[in-house]
Amino acid sequence: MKEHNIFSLFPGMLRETLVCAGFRQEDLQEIRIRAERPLIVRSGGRERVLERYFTGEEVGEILAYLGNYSLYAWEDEIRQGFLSLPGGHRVGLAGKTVLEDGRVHTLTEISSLNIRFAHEVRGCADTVLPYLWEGRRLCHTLFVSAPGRGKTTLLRDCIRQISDGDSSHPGMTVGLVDERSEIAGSFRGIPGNDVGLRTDVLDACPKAEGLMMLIRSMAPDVVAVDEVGSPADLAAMRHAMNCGCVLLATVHGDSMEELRRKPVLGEMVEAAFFERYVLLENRIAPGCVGQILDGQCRDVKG
Amino acid sequence: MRWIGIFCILAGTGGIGLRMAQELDLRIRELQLLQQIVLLLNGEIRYLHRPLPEAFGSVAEQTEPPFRNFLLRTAEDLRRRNGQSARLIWGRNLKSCSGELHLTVQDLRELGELGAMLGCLDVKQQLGALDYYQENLNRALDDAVEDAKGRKKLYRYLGILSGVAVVIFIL
Repeated sequence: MKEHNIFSLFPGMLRETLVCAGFRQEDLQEIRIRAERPLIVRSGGRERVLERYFTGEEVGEILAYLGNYSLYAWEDEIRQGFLSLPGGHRVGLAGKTVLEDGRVHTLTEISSLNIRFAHEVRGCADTVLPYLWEGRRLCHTLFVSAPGRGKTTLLRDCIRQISDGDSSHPGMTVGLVDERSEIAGSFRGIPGNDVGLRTDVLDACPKAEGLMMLIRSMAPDVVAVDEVGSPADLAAMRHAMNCGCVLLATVHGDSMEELRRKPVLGEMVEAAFFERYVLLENRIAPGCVGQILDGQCRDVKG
Repeated sequence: MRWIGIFCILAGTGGIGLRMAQELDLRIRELQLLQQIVLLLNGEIRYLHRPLPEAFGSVAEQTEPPFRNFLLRTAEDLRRRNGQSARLIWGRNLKSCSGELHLTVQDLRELGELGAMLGCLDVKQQLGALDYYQENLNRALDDAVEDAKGRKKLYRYLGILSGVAVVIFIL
């Protein structure tokens, strides 16, 4: 995924700033651009505040360039507050919302951009995967962490390894609903990241609908989905679990207590729908696994 | 020898007159081509949501020179992603091909402004920008057709008559 030049995604004004400041593209994690505020770059685990300010107009130009001069083509994504870039990278957006019938129609006067770089870390799931199997059966698993702690990276590597298989577990067909193109990093429908040789990707598709479509059409052994939360997502997950598919999902949260407080998801936790919970922490590096719990919330790592 | 000279003068000035009249027709033709381009772009954006580099490439395939080359070059430059804005690329390529065009300064200015309006936030805004340009284009075309009616005759006659005047003056 990193083979392509990340800097080529940026317009000249941002590219020059990053090169002059000595950033290396392979270390970049996050760039935060806010109109009339200093540029903030997270790279190699450290945050740097640069003495570079962009005007509101420049922020608009940067966004237009990131959107391939064609923001209208990504209207649906912009309405949801993000923009996908080739390679699975993503730009979060904030600005003025335009309402229509009380609902967000689009974003305009965008003044804040949060460019997050997808990191494909092959092998990062090595320490987790053995705990996700009960004999020869893969467990329904929920990856839990606060934003930016690497749960998508971990899910991607789990999908890859489960799909490819190994000496003790044959490869399984995985159906991946990649609503924000972050996991597979698809560009024009073709995954840019290695998500395994038996993985079918439904790109840019709403999660609830995508789960149903995959189950109906692709007969997956495993279905995977990122950042679930809405009641519709959870209902579709329940359905998938009852269709004989193993479910892998991620959710924002800091602890099991927080999960229990969430509507619908809390009920699923109480009913032990999930057989494994992988909780990530950020004490050392993103993707660092804190606890792996079973359906009864007992630590399975011992 | 004298008759050959007279013939050359009349042919030369008459040719200039015809050429000036033809320029008016070429301007009309180019404005019509621009109308067609805007219509095709409109479809690419409204129905296919194609990004600009692809949309320009696709429209170029269905367009005649000189705009074909302009669109192809612009699509290629946009695809290259060398850090420049769409407005800059559009303006630069328009400038470089303006020598082949027969549009007026005002026509070129309005076409240049269209480049600044590309890449808007949503389809509605983008189509609005194209509609705005289309309206200006329609007005310019109506004026050009009306203008050409009288001026084409004038240029042809003026060409021949100025040749006759030169011949009389020399003789």
